[in-house]
Amino acid sequence: MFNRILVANRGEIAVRIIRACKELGIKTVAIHSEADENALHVRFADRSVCVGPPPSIRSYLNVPHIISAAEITDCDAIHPGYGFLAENAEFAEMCESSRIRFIGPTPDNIRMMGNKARARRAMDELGIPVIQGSEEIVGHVDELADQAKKIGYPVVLKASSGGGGHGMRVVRNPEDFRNLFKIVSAEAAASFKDSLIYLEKYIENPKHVEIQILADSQGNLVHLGERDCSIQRRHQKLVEEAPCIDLGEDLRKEMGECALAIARDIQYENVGTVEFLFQDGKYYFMEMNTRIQVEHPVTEMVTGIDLVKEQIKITAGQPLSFSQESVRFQGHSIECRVNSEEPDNFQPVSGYITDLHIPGGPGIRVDTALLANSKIPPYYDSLIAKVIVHGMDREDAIVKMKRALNEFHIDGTKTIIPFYLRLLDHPDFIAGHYSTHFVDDMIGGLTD
Amino acid sequence: MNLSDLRKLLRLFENSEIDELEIEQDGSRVRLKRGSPSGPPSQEPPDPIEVTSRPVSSDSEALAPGTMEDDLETSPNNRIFSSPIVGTFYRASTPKSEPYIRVGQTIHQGENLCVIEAMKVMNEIESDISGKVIKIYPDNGDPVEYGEPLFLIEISPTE
Repeated sequence: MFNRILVANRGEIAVRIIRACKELGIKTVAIHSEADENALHVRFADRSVCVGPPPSIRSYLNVPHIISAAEITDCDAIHPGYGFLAENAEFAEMCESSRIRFIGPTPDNIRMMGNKARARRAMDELGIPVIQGSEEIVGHVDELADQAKKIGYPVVLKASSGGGGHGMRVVRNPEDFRNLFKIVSAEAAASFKDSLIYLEKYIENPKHVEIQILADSQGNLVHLGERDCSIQRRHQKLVEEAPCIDLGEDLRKEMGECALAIARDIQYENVGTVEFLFQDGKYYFMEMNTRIQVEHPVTEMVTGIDLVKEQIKITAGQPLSFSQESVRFQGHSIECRVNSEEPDNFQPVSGYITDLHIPGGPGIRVDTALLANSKIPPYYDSLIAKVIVHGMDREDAIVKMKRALNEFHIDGTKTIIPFYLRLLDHPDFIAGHYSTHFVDDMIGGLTD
Repeated sequence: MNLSDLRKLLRLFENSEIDELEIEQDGSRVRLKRGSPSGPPSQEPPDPIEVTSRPVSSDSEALAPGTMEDDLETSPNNRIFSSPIVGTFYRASTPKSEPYIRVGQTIHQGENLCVIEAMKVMNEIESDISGKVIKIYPDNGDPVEYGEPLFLIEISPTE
């Protein structure tokens, strides 16, 4: 087992990783920028190393400084958390060549799934359902129109260099195709470096359902069920829950096995998540995330398995201590991402925390690095806490989440808790009938 | 330091287990040192304590042990040169070489101050200022982090 692990991250996930290390009896080293000198993860760790000035590119993304920090503190492994360098295959390779274990999948796993278009093609070849689409095409509107007919309307035209909702148009009728194609081409040429356009079947009201998997280095693979992450604003997840109430036992089993087939095919190791779009009982592979995810706690709550500890154990060469048959799901879990943002327009807000009370009580878990009398630095993302609940069923979980969010008291910044309280009272959310468009529609409605 | 303060200091020193104490404050330096150690406590007469007190000029060059350093760091002519990278600090390019600089030496902008090893690469660290090296903070072979003080440099008057 490892002697000392360097945590190459900050905020709540760094705290999370340090907690797992403490429980495993492993010493920890925190890295931090000059803006995080007094951060909670620095206080929790046994040692800390300043790796640069506040901007992420010079600190939390500074590979030489981070690897050097691991060397001078005699760390034998690095945990990258999520974001930052977690899915940087070169970083994973540099760790290994510096004789430091990278706690995560192999560099090849990361590379394979990092190229999203290639991953989709590979899945298609494997016989995994993917969203039907075209190869990237420059300008040939006639070819694309033909493909659209084959795929079946509605389709979406996407600029290859776009993303986050930019350079996209949904085409519902063949008559509109040429016109919308011109618009997307113009947008692509104006905003992005190339004007490659591709085509995809448009799924009207999908749920985003993802499957958590684990694989050790001895070929054992297990899936830990699904998470419904459809509550998103502009493709950023806000609320996640387990299980997905639209799924059912058979589909869970089928999608779980599908995810495992993918993992087996690419010889995946460590934890990972396969994301699907799901509608009308059909599921389509979207992408695979080769890291521990922000929303991992909801799976931990319903299975009782500590995913971060499993990551460390897997990297240390230990076989999985449980089989697929022994996995049990219990109750219902929901997570709300508390962002330091204006509750009406989601603009990030920084601040200085002058008063703080973290919720508690039965079935409440809060993952955070918040500290009273401390600054929220403006340099990093706005996630300041995750409130996770576990109830006997979904109704119980919703009641607990409302209680917990109402207990949460923070002076010194704004948060989107008021938005969540509205969401938790929304009849469609309560009924579980929501797609990935729900929040964008809901917000649209509110500002009318 | 006045006589009343000195008396307080002596009493504190007598009641402590410190063998030697030196304090510099407001231009005065006081050094307290216990005589040869004797046996066990209370009933024995106190060990002889040597007290020397003399004024210290404000631009003294060598630093005596135990000197209060806050004044040096905050002096307007002095700059702390801090580490631009993370790694292991070395005074010289190889174990057998002469150190790049010593305390009291003058350094020019662009000259090498030290080497910091990071990921098996020996990085020569250049000074961005000219002046006289007053203090070297880390020991040879110490790990250093980003922003850690390495050298205290008294800026040349022409800067």
